Amino acid sequence: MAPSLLLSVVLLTSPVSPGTRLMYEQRCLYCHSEEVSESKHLSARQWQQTVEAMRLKAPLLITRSDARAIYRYIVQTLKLTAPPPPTSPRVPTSRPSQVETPALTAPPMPPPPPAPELKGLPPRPADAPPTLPDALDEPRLTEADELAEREGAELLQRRCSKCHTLTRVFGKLDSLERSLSTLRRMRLKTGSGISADDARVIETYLRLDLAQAQ
Amino acid sequence: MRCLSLSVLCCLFAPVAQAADPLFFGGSAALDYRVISGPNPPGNPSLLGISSLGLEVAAKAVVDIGHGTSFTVKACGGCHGLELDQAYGEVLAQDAINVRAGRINVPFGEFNTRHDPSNFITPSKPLPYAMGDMLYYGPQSFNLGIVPTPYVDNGLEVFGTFHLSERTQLDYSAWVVKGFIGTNDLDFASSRRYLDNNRTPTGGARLVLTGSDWAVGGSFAAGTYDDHDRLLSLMGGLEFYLRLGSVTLRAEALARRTDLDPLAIGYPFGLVDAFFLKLGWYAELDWNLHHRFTVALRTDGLHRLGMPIPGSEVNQPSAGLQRQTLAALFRITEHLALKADYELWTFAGVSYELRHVARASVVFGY
Repeated sequence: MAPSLLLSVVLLTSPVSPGTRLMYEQRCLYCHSEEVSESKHLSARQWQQTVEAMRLKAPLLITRSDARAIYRYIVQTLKLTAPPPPTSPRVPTSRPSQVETPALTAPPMPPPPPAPELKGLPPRPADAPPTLPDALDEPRLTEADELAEREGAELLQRRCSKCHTLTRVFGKLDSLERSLSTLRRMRLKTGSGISADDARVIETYLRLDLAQAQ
Repeated sequence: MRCLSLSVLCCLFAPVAQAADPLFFGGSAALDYRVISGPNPPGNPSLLGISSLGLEVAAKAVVDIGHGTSFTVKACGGCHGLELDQAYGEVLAQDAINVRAGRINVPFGEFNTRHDPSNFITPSKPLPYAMGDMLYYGPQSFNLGIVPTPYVDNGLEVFGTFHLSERTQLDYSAWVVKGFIGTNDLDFASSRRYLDNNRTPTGGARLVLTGSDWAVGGSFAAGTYDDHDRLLSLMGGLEFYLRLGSVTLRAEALARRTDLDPLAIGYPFGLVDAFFLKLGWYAELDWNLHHRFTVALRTDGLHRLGMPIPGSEVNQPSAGLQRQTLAALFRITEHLALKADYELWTFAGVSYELRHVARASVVFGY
């Protein structure tokens, strides 16, 4: 419990890096329009599931570390979480009655019980960004994995876009077996520019990101 | 019609095929329209029979049977009806030596490797590789570019790569194919035939030195093209590629020396040198401004030096054309892109007038 609370605090207080918006544009708006993707209001949990589902659809476009950043951006910065349930006072309903009765007055609502205060956490102001509840429950990436992902993703885009549009690349490399087979065939095409070292970096990245997407 | 049916079938069966891992499907379709300024604009072939409206469809399947062995078939339909663009088997043995045999894309030049409309930014191909999208492309005019692309032929290719350092490698490709076909200059339509017209194959090679974000290379080809194995066609090309951030520069220069038939009659001048030279080049700068939007600036040209062939409208020993292009590509969705450009065509040594051309293409790729 304590580590997850601590994680929430860290995530809430960490500023959104300027690159996160760009990442969101490059990953989510690659296929969806801004109007459509930002018109949805889901719970934080649903957003996590949606982002993960999108990642599994296009694992090379959205890496695992991207998914975490995008999820945080959607929930914290864009605040596309489901609106809270209406809190307007309940309007008393009167039953139709043939007998004239004095108007019923609703008894005053008792004040809600004070929320239990969490030790060590300041009270949350009304306009505070929504919390990230029990989301982010996937295993955290190691630093080495994140580095390999970043390096591999960037290299794949640079090499493949020499001859192809990236849309095609992301569309074709959809499973580990197919991706490794394609990488092998493409690497040996004359002038591909994919060296043996490049192939190793890209293969590591493919294994990291596609093995989970199987 | 057959090619359209094939494409529809491929679209229908692609999802099924994709369920099996060793099968790969891909394809594209491009609908292109152009407007040409001035009176009597030159026409171009149209699959739909509507002048200036071009349609090109392609479907490709790759079967990987493991151990580095795969089979590839790609059919395309365009101005020349249904064609087999690729139908070959490939064995990837090791880095240094691999083999491909069948109907192959002959490895000559850089653009030839990315000739599918979904793989380049501009609506039109560079002039050295142009076919029917070129103004005055006919046999009695400039008779196409240097290497009509896609350059497809039956033959055998050996290819591989040598690692020179951590970041540089030398790729090679050596090949033997049936060769071009013609009588007194190349005839593109005949060259696509499956049977050879003579006994001498055409051979060539491509070498490319690649670094981290750059490449330089060259190609060479030689072979006879006439029925009697007397007329020689020699081709050479240089290529350059550089990427700096979101900007990509590509440039190529190609040349072809083609023997003329000294026995043919009707040459406008006395035939001294029984050959002509065709020189072509392009330089293109692609700037990826946004993940959905890319602009391209291109200059390209084609020059013909030597005796005009009998009856040609290009009737001077030196004639050429040059084009300046400003193009943009907008990716509408994952599979759909819109291309548009403006082209300024100027001519030298021939009586064709300057033309302004505007083109728009919708390209679908999967």
